[in-house]
Parts: sequence; C-alpha cells; structure tokens
Amino acid sequence: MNKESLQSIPLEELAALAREEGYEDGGAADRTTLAEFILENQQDRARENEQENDPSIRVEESKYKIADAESGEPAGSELYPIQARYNRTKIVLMVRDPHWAFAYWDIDNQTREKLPDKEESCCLILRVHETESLGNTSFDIPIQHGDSSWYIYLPNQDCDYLLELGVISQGRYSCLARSNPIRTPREGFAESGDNAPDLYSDFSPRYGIGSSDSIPQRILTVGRE
Amino acid sequence: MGYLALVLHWHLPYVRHPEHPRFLEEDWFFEALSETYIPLLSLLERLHREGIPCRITLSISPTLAEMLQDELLQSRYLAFLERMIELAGREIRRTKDEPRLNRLAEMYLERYRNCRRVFQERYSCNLLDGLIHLERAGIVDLICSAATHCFLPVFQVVPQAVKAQVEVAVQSHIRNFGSYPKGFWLPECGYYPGVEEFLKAQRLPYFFVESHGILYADERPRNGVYAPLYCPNMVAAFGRDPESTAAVWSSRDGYPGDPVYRDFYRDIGYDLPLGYLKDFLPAEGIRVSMGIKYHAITGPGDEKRLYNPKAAAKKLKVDAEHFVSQRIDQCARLSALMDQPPLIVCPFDAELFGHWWFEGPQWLEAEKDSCGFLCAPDHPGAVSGGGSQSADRPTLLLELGKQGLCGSLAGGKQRLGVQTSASAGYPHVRAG
Repeated sequence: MNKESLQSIPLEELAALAREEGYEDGGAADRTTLAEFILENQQDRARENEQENDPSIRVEESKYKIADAESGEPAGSELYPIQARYNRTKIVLMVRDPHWAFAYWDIDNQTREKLPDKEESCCLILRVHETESLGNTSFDIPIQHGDSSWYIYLPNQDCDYLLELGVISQGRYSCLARSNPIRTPREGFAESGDNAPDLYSDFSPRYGIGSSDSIPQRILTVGRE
Repeated sequence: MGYLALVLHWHLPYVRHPEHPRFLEEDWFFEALSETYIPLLSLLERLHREGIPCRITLSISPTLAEMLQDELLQSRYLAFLERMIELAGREIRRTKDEPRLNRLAEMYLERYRNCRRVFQERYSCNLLDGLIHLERAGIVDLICSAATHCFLPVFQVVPQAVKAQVEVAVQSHIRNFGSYPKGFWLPECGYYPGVEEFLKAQRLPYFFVESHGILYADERPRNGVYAPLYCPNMVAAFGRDPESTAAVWSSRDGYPGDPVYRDFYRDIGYDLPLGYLKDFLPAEGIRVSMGIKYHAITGPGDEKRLYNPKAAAKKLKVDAEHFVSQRIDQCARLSALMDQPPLIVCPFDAELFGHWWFEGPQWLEAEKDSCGFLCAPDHPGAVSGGGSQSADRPTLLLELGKQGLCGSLAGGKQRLGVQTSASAGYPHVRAG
C-alpha cells in the first residue's frame, strides 16, 4: 500500500491499522501522520526481513542459535543455569583458521589470591610458543586480571603452537597453566611438483579456493585483538 | 565419463517441548515436514515406482530421526496441518474476487491436504518407515551425523565427548532404521585431524569435508576434490565440489534467485492484519511466516509480482537442463586431466529444497528428464554415460579413490568462534 491508498481509508480503520503496527499516541492523529507511521513501520520491517532472511545465513542461524547476541550468555541459560566458572586453573587453545586461534582460561581462587597486585608491577600474560623444529620462538600478550578469553593472531600457517598462561612479577616469569598444542591449518595448496597443475587452475578464486583472502559471508569482525 | 553424488543432509535441532501446548520452534519442524521432507520422500517414491534407477545419499541427524518417530510431535504435526488447511480455506474465501491469488490459495490448500494424506495414509505418521523402505529398495543410502549435531572441532579437547557423539549417533541410527549407517556426516563439515579415528572405531567408512579440507592436504591431492582422499587409517573423505554446489546454493548467482521463482520473504504472516491471523499465530500479536506466500522474487525492493507456477515450472526445466549440461562439460574437462573418472560431490542441506527454494524438489525431479544426477551411474542417461558400472554400487564409489595415502587432511579452517557470542559457550566444553 502506498501513502495515497492509506489516506483514502476511513480514519477509524486507519487508526486501527496504526495501532496494530504499534502506534501508541492517545491523541487524535491526522490521516497523514497515521499513514506515514504505518508506511515507515512496513518499510522497516521489509528492510529487516531482507537483511535477516538471506537463506544461507538464516538456515544456519535458525538451527544453531547457541547464545544470546546481546548478553553473550548461552541460549536458555535462564532456564538451566550454567556456572560461570569451574574454579580450576586451565587454558585451552582452539584453531579458528590458518592465522587465528581462540584461547579461554580460568585461574582457581587460591592461585588468584596469591597473585600480587598490579601495583606491584605484576602482569598476567599469554606466552605464545611457536614450536617448530627449527627452534622455539615465543611472544607475549599482556592480559587483564578480569579477562578470560582472547583471539590470538598467529604469524604462521601450517605450524605448531602452544600457549602458556603466566604471570610476570618483579621481572620473574612463572607459568600458571599450559594449553593443549595446536597446528594451524594450511591456507593454500601444498607445494607440489607437477601434480596435475591444470586441475588446480579449475578452482577459481570465486569459490573461495586457492586464496586466503576470501572470507565466508557469515564471518563477522572478531570482537577483540 | 564421470559421476555425480547428490548428498542431502536432513537436520533440525531437537525442538520437542511437551511442557508447552504450542511452541514456536516446533513449527520449524512442521514447516520442514510439509515443505521438504514429505515432498522429497514423495519424489523418491515416484522415481522408484517409475523404475528410474535413482540413488542418492541422505544424511539423517539423530535429533531429527528421534523427532520423526515421536508420537507427540506426530500428533502435533497433524494439528499444525489442520490449522494450515483452515487458514488456506479462509484465504480462498478472502481472495474470491482475485482469480490469480485465489488459484494460489487453492494450490496451498491442496499442498497441505496432500501432506496430511501422505503423512497419515502412506506413512502412518512416521516418515522413518518411508526412509527404511527407500533404503531397502536401493534408492537411498542412509548415513548418520553426530548425536546432537555438535561442531566436533570444538570438542577436540574432550575426546570422550567426540567418541560419545559418534557412538550414540550409530546406536540411534540402528534403533531408528534397523540398518548400519553407511557413512558419517560431520556437522558443518567440521573436520579436525584425528576425528577419523572415532569414525573408524565405529566402522564408518567415509565422511564429507569442505573443499579446502581436501585441496590443502599435506600433499597436493592429484585429483583434487574429484576423488575421495583416504586418511591414514583408510577412512575416506569426500570433498564438496564448489562449482556445482554454488550453482544451486548461492542466493546471488544460483538458480533459486531467479526472479520467476517464489519469493521466500513475502508471506501473509507479515502482509495481512494481525486480527485476521490471530487464530493461527503462535502467540498473540507476534507476526511469523505462515508459509503461504503469493509473490515471485521479481527483483530487489518491495514491489513483487504475483507468483506464476507455470512460468516457474518452465524455468525449472531450463535450469535443470543447464545444470546437467554444465556437469557433462565439467566431467569432460576433468576427465582429460585425471587418471580416473571424476566424482562430483554435491552436498546440500535438505531444507534448501522446498523450504528455502520452493521449487527445489521439482527441480530435482526435472533432473531425471534431463539425464540428471538422480540417475545411477549405469543409467544410460546419467552423467557418467559409461554404462559399465553396476546399479547396486554404493552411491559413493569408494573404489574410485586411487589417490592413495596423502597424509592428513587439512583441518581447522573452520573459523571457530567467528562471533564473540558463540565463543561464550566454549569454556563450558569440558570433561566431567
């Protein structure tokens, strides 16, 4: 319906339609105001529909809604409460893609209490070890006491990594927990001699193959790092 | 010469809610039954009756299989159909002065009545019987998926959870279908190196991975995704073919986006006054899709033309022929580069056919007239055209996998934790 056809509806019916659309103003509104309100609402809804209903996104989202987007709480947690922490010192490392990993950790209460205050030049870190045969290189990521997870950029694809959750206090490092090892996946074809190269030219970049730049449409910007 | 393997993955999460008289999420299940599962089963039965040597792989997730045989959900589905038949009847009365709309309303009424007839009379309310019948007739290969359809790489750090997911899936499959699953569907094709050990332990000979799982293997696989790649423990991995699947799945470039096909978004649940719909909505004042949609995709924007089923049917035939001719060309191109016939693997979420792409089941059926991929490899009209393969081969020709051992598959490019909200659940993944 367009504005003209809406305005041609008797005022009473138009007001009823507007109320159905959520119009709450108790005062006497004129036809134009009501028609504009209805049109605006319908357009908003159409836009939302269009955005939210891409089949390839919706079919997945409708199946796997595992967390409330705003609170970050797992879905249904109000009905079946899940404890926030398990009070165990532990760190877990997960591969996301050839260059990103996700880590989550916890520090048990006893250990937490023993941690020196920040004022005493203590800081928590994630120590990222790259454990290739050529030698063990590492770098540190400072984290806050309240943090419990982090996305980590890993410089090398097809490479072994391991993470330590540690504390540096008065220049001395001590490890609180060590993660499981991971290996980052390859981001492209393995080196190859003359292994049917023509076949591989068939995988055009438009299918997201052969290029590490393509990002599937469901991937959103990561929240941290 | 080549082969095409169509794999349809049937999955819905477990949404049975006996504690509520009506529950919105159960409607997803009922919609999928009406729009996808019943039409697909009917199609396969028709092909079987017509003697078309069709053979496809169906992956049925344990959560869905359990719901399909659940008596409460079966009775609720009949109530859902009664509501939809009542609504379609009202639509016929409402549109009596608009012949084109009126014919569409009649189409929906007939569809829902047909669902009720097939569901009650043909399958005695249990679609598992239909699947069992088709498997015994050699029309489908049934495979299973993880017990709760969890993304297995997340559970890599808790191997006993992965083991349980696979074991329970196999037990559920045997209980529901009376047969051993022929292979395994990794949820979301989520592979990590080592997951194949749990499949091997359950005697599951194959699974599917995303294209890059094969292509980025430790050694460049000689035949790309066009032959299975064996893990060191001899479990076979089949890779998705990006070219053929994009033609069907892509909402932008694929067939389902054609302007003549039925639009998914315009729905009477959003178009008609709430007062008119109130008896049919799951909760007062909350608009949802009702499944009755009168418009064609037309193009971007809100202005939509009315759906014309005849025009859509005409286009379906063209698209089916195009798909098949493209596959024949693809096979010819690949055959010249390979030392064995190419196998093109096309896995899809089953709900694409019928639910998202209204004409999807008819498109599949149109393939049979176009020498299509529903045909067994030995069918004269099949893409293979070779005529040398036995009709009773498994859908997926494991013996084709001559690539040999190529070390481990590439895993992990799964983009875990792609949204911070999803990662909130990971710390709860833990042993005991």
